[in-house]
Amino acid sequence: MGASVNKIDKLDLASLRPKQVPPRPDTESHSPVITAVSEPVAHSAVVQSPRRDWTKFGLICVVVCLGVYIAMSRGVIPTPSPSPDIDVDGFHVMLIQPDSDSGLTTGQKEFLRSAKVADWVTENGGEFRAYPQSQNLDNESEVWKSIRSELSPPMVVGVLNDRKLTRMEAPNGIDEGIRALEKLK
Amino acid sequence: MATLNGIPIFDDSNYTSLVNETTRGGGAMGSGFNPETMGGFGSACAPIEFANVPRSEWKDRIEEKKAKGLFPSAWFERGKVKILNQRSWGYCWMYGPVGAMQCRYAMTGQVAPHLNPFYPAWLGKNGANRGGWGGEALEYIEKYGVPLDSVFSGQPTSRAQFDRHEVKESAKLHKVWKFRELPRNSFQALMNMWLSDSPMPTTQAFNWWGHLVYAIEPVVTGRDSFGTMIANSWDYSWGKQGVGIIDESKATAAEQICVDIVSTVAA
Repeated sequence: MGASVNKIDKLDLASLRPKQVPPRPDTESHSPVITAVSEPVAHSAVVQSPRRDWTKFGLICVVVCLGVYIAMSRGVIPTPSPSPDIDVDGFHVMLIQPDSDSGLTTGQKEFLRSAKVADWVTENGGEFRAYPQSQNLDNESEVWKSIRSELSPPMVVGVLNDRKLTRMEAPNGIDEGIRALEKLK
Repeated sequence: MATLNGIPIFDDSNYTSLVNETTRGGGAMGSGFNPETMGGFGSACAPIEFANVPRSEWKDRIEEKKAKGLFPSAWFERGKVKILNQRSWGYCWMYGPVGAMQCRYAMTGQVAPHLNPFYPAWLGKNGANRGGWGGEALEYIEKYGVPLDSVFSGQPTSRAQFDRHEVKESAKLHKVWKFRELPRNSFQALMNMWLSDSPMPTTQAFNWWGHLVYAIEPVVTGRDSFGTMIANSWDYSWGKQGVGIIDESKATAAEQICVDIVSTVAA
């Protein structure tokens, strides 16, 4: 990219003027036929204003978007939830342990089964539940049934706070998960 | 007697003291595991095997999982799981699985309910003080359920107590929905489960003891020695607050059943 800029900067302005083509003999037209050579717009941009390297800018955008996508797919950044509000006060965290966890990383499985996560929720004034995916919640209270109804793999973490429910995939580790919960507290 | 964090360790050198404590050994505490009546694998469920973990990896993986709070023992304390007391009744084969149920409830994040195993055991045996085995207990739990101790307390022997409506309603709420039987007589199979992605509270029935308890954690007892931490059903005065450690030399169980999913408890 730098070479091409330099390449453009080094162009001879004289070479860019419209070229005159000598008249053909025996043509009826007596006017000189001028074949204009279209001026490179980029060169005009160099002369008239600072050039933008769209290629570099585009690459940076791609890298940033890819990074955000990876972070979101690993559950580090909670995925914004379109779930309806659940009209219950307090801080509630529910984890669902998928019937088939073959697609989960070791870190994700540990997050879904660690007592440390439950301890953190309790220490921060919340209530906690962790259920197998196939568990029937008929006898549970309405708030947990409501949260459960909004969760299905890969969205196996439900955090209800301030009557707003956030759903996300299992974070890739206990510490990572607690950091994610901290942001939703 | 060797201990680990104050918890007594039972091994080849002192296990006879446990036998002597039971009614079979002339002691006062009930046992009741009767291997002679134990059915084959098909009467509980097909045995399930977890991925094999080489012994060379046990120590590090046990310590790592313990630090991360992944064993049932971490929930046992958090959920205030009650130590049960079978007293002189030979119903260990029921008290062990129900104890494991309590622990599994704790693993859902709730304070564990205090259940009374006497109810399904007495009904299953028609009031007889007889031994049994873990798979048999699961059949009675499925049939009768287990009531809260606050609703059905102690060890009554009046049929009318068992027929009370509130007792039956309470019992229906507490059942085992999913369990897995491990291969018998295999400490390796037990360790494979502990070191898998889903460690579960697991009943252990010992022929040498004639007794059934449930295990909540694998333990490193020495340089290359291991054991299981068990919760007994002889009240809090046994072991350390009802908990002991069975060394690997005696921890090979004739029957091992993991309690995987329990019915939800009304909040």
